[in-house]
Amino acid sequence: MSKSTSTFPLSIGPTHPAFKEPVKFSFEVDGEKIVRTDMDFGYTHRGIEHVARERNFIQVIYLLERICGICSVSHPMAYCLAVENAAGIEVPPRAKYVRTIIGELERLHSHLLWTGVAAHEIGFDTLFLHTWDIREKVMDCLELLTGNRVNYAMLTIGGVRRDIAPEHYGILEETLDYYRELYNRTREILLEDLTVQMRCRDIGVLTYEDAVALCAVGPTARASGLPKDVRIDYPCNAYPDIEWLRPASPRDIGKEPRGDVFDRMIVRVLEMKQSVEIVGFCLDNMPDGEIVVESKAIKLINQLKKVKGDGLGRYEAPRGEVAHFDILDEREGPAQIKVKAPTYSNAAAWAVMFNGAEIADIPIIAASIDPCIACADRMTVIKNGCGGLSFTAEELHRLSVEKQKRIKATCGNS
Amino acid sequence: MLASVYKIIEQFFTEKSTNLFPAKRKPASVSEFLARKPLIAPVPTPPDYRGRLAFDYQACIGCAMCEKVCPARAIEMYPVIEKEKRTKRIVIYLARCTFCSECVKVCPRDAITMSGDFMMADYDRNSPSLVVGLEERRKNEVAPEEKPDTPQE
Amino acid sequence: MRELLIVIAFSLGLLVLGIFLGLFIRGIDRKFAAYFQSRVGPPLLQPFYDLEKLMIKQTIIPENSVSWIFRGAPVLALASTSVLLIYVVLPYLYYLHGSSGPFLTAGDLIVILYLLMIPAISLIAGGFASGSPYATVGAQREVVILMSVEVPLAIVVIAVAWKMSQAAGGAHPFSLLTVASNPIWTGMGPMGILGGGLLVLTLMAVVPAETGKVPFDQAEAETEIAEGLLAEYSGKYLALYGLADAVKSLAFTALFVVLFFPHGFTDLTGFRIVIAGGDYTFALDILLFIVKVIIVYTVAITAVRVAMARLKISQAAKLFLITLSMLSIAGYLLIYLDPRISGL
Repeated sequence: MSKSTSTFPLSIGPTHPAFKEPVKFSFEVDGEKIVRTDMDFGYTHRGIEHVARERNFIQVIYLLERICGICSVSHPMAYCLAVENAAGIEVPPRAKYVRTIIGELERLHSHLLWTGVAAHEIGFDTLFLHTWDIREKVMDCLELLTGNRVNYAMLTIGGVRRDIAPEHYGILEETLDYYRELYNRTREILLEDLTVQMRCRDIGVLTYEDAVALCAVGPTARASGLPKDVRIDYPCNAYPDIEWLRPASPRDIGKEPRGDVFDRMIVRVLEMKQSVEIVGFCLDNMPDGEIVVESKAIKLINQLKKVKGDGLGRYEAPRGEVAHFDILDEREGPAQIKVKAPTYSNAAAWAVMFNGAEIADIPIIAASIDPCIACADRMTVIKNGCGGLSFTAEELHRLSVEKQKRIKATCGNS
Repeated sequence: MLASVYKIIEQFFTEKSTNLFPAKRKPASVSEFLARKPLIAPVPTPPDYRGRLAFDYQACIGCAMCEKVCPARAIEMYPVIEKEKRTKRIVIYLARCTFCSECVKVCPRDAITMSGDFMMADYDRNSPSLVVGLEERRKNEVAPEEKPDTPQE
Repeated sequence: MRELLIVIAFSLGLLVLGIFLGLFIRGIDRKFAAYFQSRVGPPLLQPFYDLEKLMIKQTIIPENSVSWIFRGAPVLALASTSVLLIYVVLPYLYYLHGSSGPFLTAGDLIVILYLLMIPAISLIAGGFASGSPYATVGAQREVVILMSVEVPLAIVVIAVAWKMSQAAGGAHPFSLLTVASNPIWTGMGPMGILGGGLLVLTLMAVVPAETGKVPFDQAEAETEIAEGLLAEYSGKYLALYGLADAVKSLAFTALFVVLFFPHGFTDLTGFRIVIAGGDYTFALDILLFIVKVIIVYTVAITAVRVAMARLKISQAAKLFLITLSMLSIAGYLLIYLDPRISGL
């Protein structure tokens, strides 16, 4: 390949084997090098926020659970925290611990899933099948605890819907031991394999400064050396009790963070270990008592119907911070609901990561922030059949202010 | 590098993770095949698995709480006359159901229960196997009460 | 004239057998790969089923493709790989049988080197002709792989030919018959064996690159450029490429076996199998040859492709042009120095 002065466009997506969800990248490519990146979202916009306003508080939980299959604890968790925050409901301690256990098991399976996807993106199918194989154990465990493998239907406002029964403890401990045993070997395969290092080291670098400037969240931020973790910064659930909990960082295994794809892998591997330890801690220190404030759904709706106010719920999803903002306005359901998914924050970092990368790096860089497009697609613009509108930052700000005023006006009047 | 080589050699000899299908290829006659061979059992479901819903017509009191909480709006009420009183009963459209078990929890009489059955595939979303309580509905449904002010669906 | 007819008939038979064997070995490869990955895997005959299905599927020619190149490239690929298979296997079978023929020295290693390039070139032509940016990127990558692989491969071939020129007294050093009848390992000291080992290692790395398997399947990288070169191919033409790939894999592993492990049954044990007056050694030799091909295929392609991630094109080019070229030159030097050192 000679160094040509002309570049050619390469568009990847909306459907492409590298992406599990529709997102469109338009690259300007010079040979194998990427010189310019453009992104286009909005292919999985389903109007969930609008639908949520039409439903009551209980129905919304299950709706939000289906924003994304992998984060099916994180979104309802953030929503429940937001509503509890608005209504001033105090969750019983046992429910907090159960929530933590379910959330951490979800993180474990999500990270294992990510590892498999990342391995597949670099053409390492054996690793992909291996991680998905060992993931089955935690999926079985979640199925046992919640009754389903994916949409757990475990959370409700003011607590959880199912208790962890005494006979489940043994199985949970067994699962944790299984992962503790596997940890060393899996880490060796993941982090010491030569070809994995060749494909991931110094690829898709997001420097500390960029991570701060672009507001990266979750493992993406932590891999750049930014100690940012909602579980520690704004602790909810059982996290305040866990004193040893620190944001995972490549420094934990003696490596200075470089912010590349490999560091993101390190952080996720460390977080898997962390999750196992957190579940172990919760099982050992599980308080007794109620698991929910109000178990009768209709009564709960009627209680919440009297509340006027707003609340913010923040939770550390496996991919980063997920935040829900709810406005309660003496209705059966939320008057307004706003979802901020981790991918929404991290997507901006893509542009920096793709800078100067090769075509071969596109899938692994795209996968490295663990994108969940379904979570992030909160709006779509259609003009003459295809996207073509552009907004400046000022315009967007003006639009947001206008919308906020409109919401306030409608909420005040009803 | 060596870890993965070691791993693949180990995996070559250890038991495989694949869950096998009951048959390798489609048998000529399904019923004969089922009778003849010991089948590969399906993966067991845990005791609290959220599977196919069952509805107890007699226990239901028609309080409509399940209809209210159902996130998928899969529950439909229809009028019946029970004990010479006008009341309502439900049908559940499993094709819409999200199996959240909220209706099971909210029911004051435990008229809705869940089983471990997960094999619900069908060609028609309104087939009798996918509408819980359809038989009772056919038997007991009466004409809706004449109420001009309530909107009719 | 009669001999010519025999050779032609033999070649055609070999071609049909080669296609079957190639697809069957592909089935074994998939089964083994599945076992390495803790799966059960498809049935051994799955490649045949796939082929059957592709043959009855609709064939779509993209609107903005150069139609005649697009249609012609798969045919050329299959034709050239078939010729390659015949050139590699036929002399070897003659050697195993112990008979001689007029065409034994006609095809030699140089011809094989060129024939190896033609399927790749037809892939590239088909890729550029299909008018898809993915296929264009894939074709560019295939060019890079093609050019960088030639260097270590040529050095290995030259090293083997040099050894042959020493062993066979200078007659037909590039002929496969010479290579088969004088195994490279005969009369080697420890240094020579080490050098030969380096050459084997180099060729092991070349096998997945020539056959387009992980870690050198950049031209077809599924997750990156959506099967690259083959992105626009469908139906019969894709089936032809599948056949060409199966035959090429078989031919290249056979070349590997002939270059480094040509020993027949008699060479290894000194016996000939005679049952009820019939000499079955030749049949056994063929069986042994197939087993050797399967072993090479499993070690050099299956095991490698499950134990590694796909390299980037720049890394692959660097590996072939620098590391493996150095390795093969070192191997050549060791073989070259061996008789001189041992003689001291």
